[in-house]
Amino acid sequence: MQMTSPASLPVTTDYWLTYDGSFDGFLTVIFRIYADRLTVAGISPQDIVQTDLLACTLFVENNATQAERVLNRLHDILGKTGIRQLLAGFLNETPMREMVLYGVIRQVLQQPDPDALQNVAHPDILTLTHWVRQLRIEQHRMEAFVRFELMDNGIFLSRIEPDLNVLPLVAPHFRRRFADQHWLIFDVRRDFGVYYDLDTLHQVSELDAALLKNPSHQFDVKELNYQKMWQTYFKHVNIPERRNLKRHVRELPRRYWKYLTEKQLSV
Amino acid sequence: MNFERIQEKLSILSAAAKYDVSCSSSGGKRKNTNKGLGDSSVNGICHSFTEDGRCVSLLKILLTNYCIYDCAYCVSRKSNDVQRAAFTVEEVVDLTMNFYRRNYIEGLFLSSGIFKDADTTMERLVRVAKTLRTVHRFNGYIHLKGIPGASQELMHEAGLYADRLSINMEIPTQSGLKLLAPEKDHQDMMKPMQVVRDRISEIQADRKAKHLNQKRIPVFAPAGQSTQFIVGAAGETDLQMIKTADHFYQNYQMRRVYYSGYVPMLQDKRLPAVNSAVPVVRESRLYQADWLMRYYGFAANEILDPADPFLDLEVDPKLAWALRNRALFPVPIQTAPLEMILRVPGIGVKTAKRIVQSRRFEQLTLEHLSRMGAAVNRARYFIQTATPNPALAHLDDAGLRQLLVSQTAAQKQQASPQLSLFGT
Repeated sequence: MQMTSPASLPVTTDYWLTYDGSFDGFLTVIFRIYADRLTVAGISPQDIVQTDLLACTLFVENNATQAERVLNRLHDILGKTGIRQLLAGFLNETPMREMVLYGVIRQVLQQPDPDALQNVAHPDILTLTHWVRQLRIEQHRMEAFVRFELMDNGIFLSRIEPDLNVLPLVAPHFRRRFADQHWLIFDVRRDFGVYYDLDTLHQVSELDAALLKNPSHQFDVKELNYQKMWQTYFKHVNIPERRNLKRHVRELPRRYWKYLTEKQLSV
Repeated sequence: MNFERIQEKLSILSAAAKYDVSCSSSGGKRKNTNKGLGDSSVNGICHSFTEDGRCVSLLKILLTNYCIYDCAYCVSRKSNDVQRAAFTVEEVVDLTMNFYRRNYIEGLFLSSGIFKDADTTMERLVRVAKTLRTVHRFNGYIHLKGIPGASQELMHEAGLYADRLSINMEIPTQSGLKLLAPEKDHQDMMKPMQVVRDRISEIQADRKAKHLNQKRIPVFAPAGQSTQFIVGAAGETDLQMIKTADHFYQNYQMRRVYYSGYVPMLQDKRLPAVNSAVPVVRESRLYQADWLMRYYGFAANEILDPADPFLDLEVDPKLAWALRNRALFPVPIQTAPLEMILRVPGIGVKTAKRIVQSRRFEQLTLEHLSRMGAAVNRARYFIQTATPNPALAHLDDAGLRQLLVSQTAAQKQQASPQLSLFGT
């Protein structure tokens, strides 16, 4: 490849914008794009290395006032549900999610309409719709597939490895539902958990590796009995004449089996 | 507690309950306000799926499989030589609480064989629900089976603790019931259903009248009632089933009618032979027809014609309807009302809504429809879009039905290599 000398570059420069990785930080980036009329090559958290060598990298400092101005403008147009969808899109861990969200926001600001996010004929809005749906599916799956095991200290423990980072989203559901028991759900992949002490939710950042690997040494004395009974139930409620494994694995994808009590070999 | 013994009961009494297909846990609105256990999700949650692909949402068991009746289609019938067992109230309560605490289930679905008489059985079912609610502050989902012939008082009490009540019709025709369950009578089943219906509307009326102190008015079966038909045991037609279902939806505010393909497991000359196949395709066509009535605005008599009272097994009922009524097509996607878009084969409720929402912004093409989730390979024969749609030329072809059938068959064939991995 022949290198062009800087002098022959067009006057408008493409910018690669980096930020601190927070939602506010991202909104500040949006503010700067509009305020400084920047042409954007990419947006990414600062700890991710950019790939476009021709673009000029610019770090945008998180600015709460500027972020709020963007948020308020979007809220005026889209309302609370719209903001929730943007936030759900932001929780998606796909690299370059920022560019899709930027595309969505640009479209919304260009044609301000309360139903702008329903225009799924726009490619970025369609992508966002898919992301929101993926996140809701994963959230729903975690509400379904979490399995608690009662430990000898009276805490119900669950290990999970969700595809998306949904533990913060599902914790309130478990708090409402299991209000009268101590529980701890730990995301093994992202290495953090949430603990409920009958009153408040606490973030847990570390858990004994041996316990995470095999908690059975610390089970409550009756725990294995209930696990066995659940496995018995699961086996007997099946109708062999109607066997349909295709549907079984579609509804209960294999990657979730690791922590499902009913899919373990008889304990 | 003797776990081995309970384990054994559990295997007998869950296997006996599995032919009841209802597993829904939706419609409960019980909030965990007393800092007890559980909180019913409005949409219900499937916590697992068995190898037959069915959802596991509730602990679905019989209190006992001892039964004084001898219904030909039922695995627990008196004359059938099976192992019998009975749970105590405490055992069911303990299982429900401990399964729920581990997030295995949304709640309990309790049914029973009829021991002694209807009221004795019903009273025991009610006692389980009452103990869970009052002693253990359980706010999860409870579905109780109403026992045909149970008294009004017991049905009223049941509704105070249960989210859903159901009485299974099983055999939708009077003649079929006479043949297969001569001791039973449709009237015995309808009566408790009427009691539940009337109590629900009574409470609703009370709520409207006394909206100022709502708290005083008791909750009664907030998830309503449902029923079940067995498919293919008594020689009934699909039209008879759809009509009966429609009658229940119209007159009993029934939330759901379930269709359970008969699993031949009993030797009886009145029934299909033991090795004959479960009518799964017919069952799923009935569900599709049911869906058309509940969500797509179809009337029962549009779906089936008295001259031809069985659903087409080759094509789904919506496609069959469209093929019979081609004069109403093509539907212009950009302008047609939602009700008509809902009637296009290959377009579901969600997609139809998306179409109506997004067409204000764009001229929709087949590609847009596909991205919104429509099955364009079917829909394209029935719709008009802004861009030219060559498939429309086939709309009046006599061979369109065959074209669509072979297209679906080809798709299935493509998908099937995956299936063979599991040796089915």
